[in-house]
Amino acid sequence: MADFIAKFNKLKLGEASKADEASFPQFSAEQKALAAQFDTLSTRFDEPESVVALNDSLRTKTFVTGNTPSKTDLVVFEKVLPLASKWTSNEDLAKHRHILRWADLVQNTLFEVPQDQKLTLNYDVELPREVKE
Amino acid sequence: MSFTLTIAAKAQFVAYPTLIAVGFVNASDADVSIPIEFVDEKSTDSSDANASIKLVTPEGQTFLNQLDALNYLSEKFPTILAEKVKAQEWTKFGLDKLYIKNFKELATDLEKLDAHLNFRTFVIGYNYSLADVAIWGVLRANALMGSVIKNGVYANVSRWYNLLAEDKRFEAAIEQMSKNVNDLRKSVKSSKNGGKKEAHKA
Repeated sequence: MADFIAKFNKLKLGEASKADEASFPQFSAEQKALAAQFDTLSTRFDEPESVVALNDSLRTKTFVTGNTPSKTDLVVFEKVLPLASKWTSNEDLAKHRHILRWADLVQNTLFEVPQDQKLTLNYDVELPREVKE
Repeated sequence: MSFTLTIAAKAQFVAYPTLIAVGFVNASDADVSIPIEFVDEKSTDSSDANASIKLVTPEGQTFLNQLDALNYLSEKFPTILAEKVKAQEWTKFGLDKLYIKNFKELATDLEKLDAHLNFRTFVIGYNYSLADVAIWGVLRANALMGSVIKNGVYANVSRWYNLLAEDKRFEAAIEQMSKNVNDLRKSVKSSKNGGKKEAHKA
């Protein structure tokens, strides 16, 4: 995975649909299912529960489809970015912390995001710890 | 002189960080292969009961302490074990705080690591550094951590830990060591037995 990141040619923001799937690590069956699920979900981010589902999934996974990056990360990132730019209150940061962690990884490893559109994160902001239910 | 790494398999704090760091070097394109020897002892050196490793370098230095060995390796192989300076605080934190087997004390430091990983995928920057290797190795060596990781008590720590575990240079390196140490123990047992297989009375 780390070697992948070092060698990956970043895409321009807005070009997710042009990404060549063959340039990513191969999918397992489980990853395929997750990719399909989140490709669909990313068209419904106007529904709050879609955002919650993405955040919950990224709690345990580094990327949307698991521990390797995929085209789905690019597709979902383009849809999430306009929303995430508005998450600035501590409450929103805490609520969406896993999406923000992932989005920051994506914008620094998979995409060339213009400086004025990049998410700016205060990495050390104090958030209440998530307690497992 | 050439490199050698010796690891004490019965050390109180088994030196997985150094084992993994050397594995990174050996798996890289660098034109060097550091042989690893395991000894079934609590220490690698009679002069120091707490020496969990002994790294001998081509320059003739000997390191018995993991932090010194890790820093040496990071300086020698800066592209393989990156960010020695930036990683220093967290490398030291891992070695000093996370081997502890008192859960109450450990919990405070795990909370600190978990908070650090709120918005970070790796300990430093966007890829592995010396700090990831050090902290992962320490947590893997800490018997308290298995269930803590599995149960996701610290969600960010678990996600980060599991990401690294999938890389063959982490979990697979530990399994390889366990296998080597088991083989070593078997061969010692059979040589004590005059080289014969254990015979059971009918």
